[in-house]
Formats: sequence, structure tokens, C-alpha cells
Amino acid sequence: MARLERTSERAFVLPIAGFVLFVPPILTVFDGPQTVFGVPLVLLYLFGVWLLLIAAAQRLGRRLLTAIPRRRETAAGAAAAARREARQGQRGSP
Amino acid sequence: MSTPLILAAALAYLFLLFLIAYYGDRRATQGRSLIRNPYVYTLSIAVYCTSWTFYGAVGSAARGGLEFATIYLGPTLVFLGWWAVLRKIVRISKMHRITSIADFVSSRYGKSTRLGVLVTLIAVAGTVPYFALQLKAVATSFNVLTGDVLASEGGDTLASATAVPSIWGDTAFWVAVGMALFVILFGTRNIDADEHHEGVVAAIAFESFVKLSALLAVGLFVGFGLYGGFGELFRNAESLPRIDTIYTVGDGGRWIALMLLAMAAAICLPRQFQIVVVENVDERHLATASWLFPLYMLAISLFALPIALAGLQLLPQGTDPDFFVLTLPMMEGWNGLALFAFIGGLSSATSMVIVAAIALSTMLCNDLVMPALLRLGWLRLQARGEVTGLLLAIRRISIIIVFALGFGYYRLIGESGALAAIGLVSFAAVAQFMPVILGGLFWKGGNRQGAQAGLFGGFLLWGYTLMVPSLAQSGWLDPGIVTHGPYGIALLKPEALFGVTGWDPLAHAFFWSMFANVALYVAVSLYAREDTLERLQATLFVDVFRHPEGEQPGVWKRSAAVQDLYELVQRFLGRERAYAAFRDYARSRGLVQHMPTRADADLIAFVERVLAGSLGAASARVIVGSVAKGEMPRIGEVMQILEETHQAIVYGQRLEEKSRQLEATAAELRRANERLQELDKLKDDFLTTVSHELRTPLTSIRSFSEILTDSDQVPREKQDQYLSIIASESQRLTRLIDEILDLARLEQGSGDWRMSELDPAMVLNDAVATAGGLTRERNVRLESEVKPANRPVLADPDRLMQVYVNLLSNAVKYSDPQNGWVRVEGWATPTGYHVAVTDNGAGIAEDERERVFDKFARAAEGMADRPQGSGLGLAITRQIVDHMGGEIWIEAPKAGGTSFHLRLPAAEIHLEDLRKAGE
Repeated sequence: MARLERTSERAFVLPIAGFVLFVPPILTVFDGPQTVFGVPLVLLYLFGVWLLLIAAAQRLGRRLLTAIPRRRETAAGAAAAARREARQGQRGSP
Repeated sequence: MSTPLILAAALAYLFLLFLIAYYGDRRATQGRSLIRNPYVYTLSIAVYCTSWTFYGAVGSAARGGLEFATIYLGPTLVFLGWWAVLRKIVRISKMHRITSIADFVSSRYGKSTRLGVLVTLIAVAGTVPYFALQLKAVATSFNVLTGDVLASEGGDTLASATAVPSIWGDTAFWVAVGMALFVILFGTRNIDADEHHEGVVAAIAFESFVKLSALLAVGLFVGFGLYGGFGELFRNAESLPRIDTIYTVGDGGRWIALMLLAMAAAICLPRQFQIVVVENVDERHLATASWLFPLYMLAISLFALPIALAGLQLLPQGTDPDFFVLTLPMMEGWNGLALFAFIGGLSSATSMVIVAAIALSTMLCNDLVMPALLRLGWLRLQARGEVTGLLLAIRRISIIIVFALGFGYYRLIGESGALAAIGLVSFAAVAQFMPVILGGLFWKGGNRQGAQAGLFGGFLLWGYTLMVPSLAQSGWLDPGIVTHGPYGIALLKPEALFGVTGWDPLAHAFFWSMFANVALYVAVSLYAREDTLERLQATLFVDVFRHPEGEQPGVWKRSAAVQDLYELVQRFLGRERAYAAFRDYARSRGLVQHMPTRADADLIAFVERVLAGSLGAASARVIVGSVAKGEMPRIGEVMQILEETHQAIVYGQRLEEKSRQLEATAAELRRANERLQELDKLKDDFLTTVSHELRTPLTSIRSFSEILTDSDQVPREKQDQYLSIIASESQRLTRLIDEILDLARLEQGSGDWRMSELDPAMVLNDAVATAGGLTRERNVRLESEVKPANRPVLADPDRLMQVYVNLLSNAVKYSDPQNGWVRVEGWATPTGYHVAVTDNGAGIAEDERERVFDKFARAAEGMADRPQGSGLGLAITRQIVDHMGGEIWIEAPKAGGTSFHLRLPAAEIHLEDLRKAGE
């Protein structure tokens, strides 16, 4: 339980960290004409951080998933299931 | 490129969409849903990327540099934070069967009709220009592709170069007609707005796939077809005159405003709310979307800047950067790729148009037309007869109205302004929903009047600071308003309100509209009176995770005739659905076909929820209110009931937790008891065996001594024989008792151990020498191959000797009686010393190999010539080995016989050795 709490705290922090990294002044540190291996530094920074955040979200998402009940049947889902049942019933009986 | 070819491709594509939607719906009725899949869900969310992205992102990158990325970073952040906001919205919407964003806001603030109307109007005002933008993009891209237009920048050449086409000759018109047909066919199949449009969602997911592929294809073509890789592209771009403005963030305020707008848009755009929340089939899909959708955003914006740079370098000055995606492949004669790009643009436009039309028509029907009809009394609630047909007609007419509005806007003023600018105006309009939604999710104090004031104020300022200048620019209003202020009042200039000058117009509008919105929302909420229903809804929304799913406390003590309720539901939902709903209710409450004649609060709440799923919360409240009578209790009472329900749930959870703990403890006790009983049985067995073992020698001693005492006629030599038997049996008895004592000491862990570091090989050699007598006596051949040890082991010398001797004598005893041999080997290992003692006896069956280490266990119990021994030797040996930290086990050599293996750990170990051992 404590582990889940920590994970969900991280889930709250992740977008905030992303926001801070993607706006000035941190972003302006990297802008300008400098290039690395011929690619503008600011593009490398932007897409690199983007990719890191995605990786972090993927890890977090997998853990947080355990906290959500498995099937959240909506009315439509239940109706579809009922229809399926009914059809199988028909098929089953000659 | 030839017009018929393009038309044929576009038609074929649209036809494919119809097929996919049809297939998706068919799969849904078969119960094999296509969209019950997190990846399809994620792809459908990418409806966010319209033609504004497909064409406009490159244009925006060419004009404003990095700025285009903000539009994709915003939604990325929203989805990264899904756990806090999106999950809550989805959970609430499932519970309250929310049908649209207007329904969500109205439901949260006391099921207010007025709020629903306000949100619907803002949504329409914000969406129609955006809608027009899609049609414009389709028409212009078609013209660019056919070569009608030279695709040059500036509105005057873009559309006016060729005279405005007649409606019948306008591609956008036919696309609009086709899409309206699509939405009517697949978006309004039945009246339940909260039922998922499976076919539509499947088609949208497919469109997202197409547009991403097209954009990536163009990006790769630019990088590797036009240049020798992206490095070269960036190097060449350094010579561009405006390159300095491309790689900079620019105006920080505008940047942040754009980010916030995009974040708000990811939730508040009616089409995003429709796909992310209303069409969501499983909350768990959000976890996948939380990273996959940002990845989609990254992929779609990856090549925007390179394409823009390439267009600026290679295409003639003045080419419209909004259509670089088309013109770059065309320039090189890659017409197939250009056609693919056109289809990608078409897919991004149609997906937006489809979902926006569904979302807006639902809102228009549920939150504008229905309340009006109910208020005017045209839907005679007391009358019978179904009105489902009427409802579907309203929804279909709404769709046609939405399309007509969008198309009209496009024909009227759609020809001025770049794509990006129109999109941002839309974003700023729907961003007005953000404060009331966030406040509604986390702040119980936010109430209906506050929300109304906030929305109204924010929308008013949005219109004044963004729409007025844009209208003035296109000549619909006096431009003097913008330059000098209305009536010459400089303080009220729309783009420099209250003297705030020098700001980017968008950041300026965003600041003022949000300021007014939030300030009014908070201030009015704090001072306005709220009624009980508002308070109740606020609590249910904010505390959604505290109340278990679907369990809404029946606070409102109302009652109604079941007959009336049934007829009401039948009137609005149709005979079949009404029956199904009441049957489900009866089943879930354990009633079989028998309903009480008077409905209780619970059933009334259920009926209201069912109706809300089709007509929206506000309309459902009015409709149910027409038959259900009862006073809403005062706020204090409601809060108390809610609190009590919550307490009961918490106690329930605690009780469950307690009982789980108790069960765990009971199970532990049971296990402990079983273990005790087993030990007790072992002890009994041990005692029985010990007494049996002691009895055998005792019996022979007694009987022989009795013979000697009782009878004088025993011959001398017999007497000697008997006495020697008595002596040997006594010895055996003594030995047995010694061993039992020894074992008992070992098992208790006491006993005196004189541990010291010693050479295991030396002790083994001594043991082999000692055993020499025994082997000669038994005529057993003894081979030994003892290699020196690398390191000493930590052991008691006498005990180690005892172990060796035990193993050796055991091997000798059990070796082949006729031609026996025993082989002793010892060698050093990286972690200690290894000893193997092998005999050529009968061997031990595999399942007995562990058992021989038990007390009094002997191999092959029924053996006729059972060798003598106490049966404790191996048990003692194992105890000693365990104490020294070693291991002993039995292996069966291939040639037969038995092989005892003993591993002794070295007194100390080097890391290097561990590494070697690992290899």
C-alpha cells in the first residue's frame, strides 16, 4: 500500500516536472544556434526530455494499473455481454 | 496532378471509412468489440491532431520556429498527469453517465440547465471556426494538388486568385456532405448518448494511423530524398536569413500561454472530451494512453521543423508554408507521395469534423433544445407515446446545423488568416471551461452561480480581446476600435486592455479572460448561496474515490408511482430499452419481476441516471421531477447522510481488513499446530524405535544370562560363547546409548565444539589409514586419491574425523560382499574442499536417498543380510556437517553402488574465487 502511495505521488510530480522543463527559463538555456552533431541543441533537448518523460510515464502507468479494478463494466458493456450471452444460449439449444 | 485521380483517391478513402465504421458497429453488436483495446483508444485520442497539425504545424514552424511544439507538449503533460485529473473525470463520468462536456459542467453544478446552455454556446462559438478551418484545409489542399493555386502566402492569392468556386464546385462542400452523412449514419444509431459509437471510434483510430504514416513518410522523404540526411538539412539551413528566429523560444509569455491553452484544450475541446471521456470503455486504458499518446504527439511533431526548413530553402519565396507538406513532394515530382500526404490531410480533417459534430450535436440536443422544449411544455410529459423518433430527429438536425454553421463560416470569412491563428482562437474559447472543471473536481465550495459568472466573464473577455480584433481586421468592424479603443477610450483597446501594452495579443487575451474567469468563479462562489442539490453533486464529484462505484446514497427522499416512471422512460428511450433498464434494476436488487407500486428514492435516482445517459443530467432532472414528489432535505441533513454513508463504508473496509488479518492469524496458528502434532508424532516414533533398538540387545543379554544362571549343565565352551555374546551386546548397548546422547546434544546445538582451522585433506588421509584395519577384516579393496586442499576449513578435528570414519565404515559395510571395493576421493574447489566416498554395493533407490539421513533409517529395510549398526551414524554425520556449514548428499554413479558427497566450505574465501566459482 505504501508503495502505491509513493508511486501515485510520483504520478503527480511527473507532469509538473515536465512543465518546468518545457518552459522558460530552463528551456531558454538550450535555445540558440548551437548544434550537436549537426542537430540544433534545442531540438535534442526538447525531444530528449520528451522521450524521457514518456519512458517514466510508461513505468509508472504499469505500476498504477494494479490499483485500478480490472473491468469497469459500463451499461453498454453489460448490455453487450447480455446480448452475447443470449446469442450463445440460442446457439446452444437446438 | 489530374483532378479525377485525386477525386477517385479521396472518394475511395472516404468509402473505406464507411466500411470500417460499418465493420466496427457489426463487431460491436456481435459482442466482439474492436475498441475494447488500449491501443485503439490511444489512436482515437489522436483526433487532437487535425489538419491544423497536419498542415499548420509546418507552417507555424516556418513562421514562428519552435513555438509549434507547445501545442503538442500541452496534451503530453495532461496525459502524463492522468492519475490526478483525467482518471477522476472518467470515473465521475462513468458513474453519472455524462454525455458531453456541457453535461459534465451542468451536472457538477446542481444539474443546472442554464450552465449547460452557456457551455454549449461557448463550445459552438469555439468549435465552428475550427470546423471551418478543416473544410478550408481540405479545399485548399485540393486546389494546391490540382495546381489551381500556386500555393503562395497571403489570403489574396490563396483563394481569390481563382474566383471563389461555386458551392457545387467546392470540394469542401462535398466533403462536408459526405461527413454529415457519415455522422448521421454512425453517430445517431440510437438515442443513448452514453453508449459508445464503436464504428466511429474505430474509423477515427484508423484515420489517426493514416495521418501519422503520411506525415512520417513526407518527413523521411525530406530528410533522405531531398538531402543526404537530417544533419545536412540542418547545416544547409544555417544560411537561411531568418534562421535565428527559428531556434529560439521567443516571447516567454506567449510560450507559456500557448502551453496552458494546449493543456486546457486536451481536456476541454468538445471532441477531446467526447473521445477521451465519453467514448472510454475501460478506465485502465488511460494507463496505456498516458505514455502512448505523448509518444504519438512526439512522432507527429518530430519532422515539422525539418520540413519547414526544407520548404524555406527549396521552394520559391512566398510559397504558403502551410502547404509545404504537399508542395515539397510535388516539386520533386513525387506525385504518389503528394497524394498520400493529401489523403493524410483529408483524414486529419475528417476525423475532427466527425467527432466534433457528434459532440456538438449531443450538446445542442441535450443541453439546448431539450431544456427549451421541456420549458415550453411541447414535450407533454403526461402524454404517452414514444418520442425517441423526435429525439433522433433533433440530433440529426443538430448535426446538419453544425455542418451548415461550419461551412457557412468557411465561405464567409474562412479565407483570411493562417491556419494556426484560427485554431488558437478556438483553443482560447474552450479553455474557459478549465477553471470550472478543475474547481469542480477538487473544490467543493465552487458552486453554480460562481461557475456561471466565471464562464460568462471569461467568454466575454475572450470575445472582446480576440474576436473583436479579428473581426476588425477582416473589415466587419471599425479598425479604429483596435487602434484607438472604443469611443477613443485608450484604456479599453482590445489588444492592450487597461494599459497592458507590449504583450503578444494571444497571451494578452489569455491572461485577461482567465483572470476574469477565475476571479469571478472564486469570488462569486464564496459569496453566493447554494442549494442542496448543488452541494450534493459537489460532494459526489469531489469525493468520487471515497464512494464506492455506483453506490450513490439515496439522499433525496422522493417517491413516485412505478407506473409513471416506467411510462416516462418508455416515452424517451423506447419500449425495449425501458423494459431492459427496469429488468436490470430488479435483478440487481434481487427482485424477480415484482416491483413495488411506489418507487423509493433509490429507484428514482436510478431512473434519473438512465435518462441522464441519453438526455443529459439537467433534462433528466426536469423530466423525473415531473412525476417524483418529495422535499429535498436541508444541506446539513444531506451532508450528515453523506458523512454517515462514508463512515459506514470506512468501517466496513476496516472490518474487512480486520477479518482478513484474523483469518491470516488463524491460518498461521493452524499451521503451527500441525507442525507441533507432526513433531509429537516424530518424538513418539523416535521413542518407539529407540526402545525397540534397546530391547534387542537387552533381550539377548537377559536370556543368555538367565540360561547361565538357571542351568548348570551348560558346557564350558558354550558358557564362554554366551558370555562373549553378553559382553558384545552390552558394548552395542553402550554404543547405542552414547550415540543417542551424542545426537541429542548435536540436535540441541550444545555439545563442546573445538573449532579450528585445519587441513581437510590431512584429516581425510588419517581417516583412510584408520579404516585400513576394517577393510582388511572385511576383505574390501580401498582406493584413495586425496589431493591437497588450497585453504583450510573451519571444523572440529575429532568431529570431522568422525564424519570421515562414519562415511568410510558405512561404505565398507554396504559394499559388495564378494568383491567389494571402496573409493575415496578428495579435491579442492574454489570455495572449499570436496570429498566423495563411493562403494560398489547394491545402491540406494532414488526416493530413499534423503531418508537414509533420518534416525534409525537403514537403506533397503527388508534386506536379509542387514548389516549391523545403530542407524544413527548418518543422522549424526549430517548434524555435524550442517554445524560446520557444509553439505552432504548422495549420488548414484552410473556403474552402480552409492556415492556420498561432502562439501566443506573454506574458512575464508576470496572474491576472486567466487567469481571463478560463478564461471
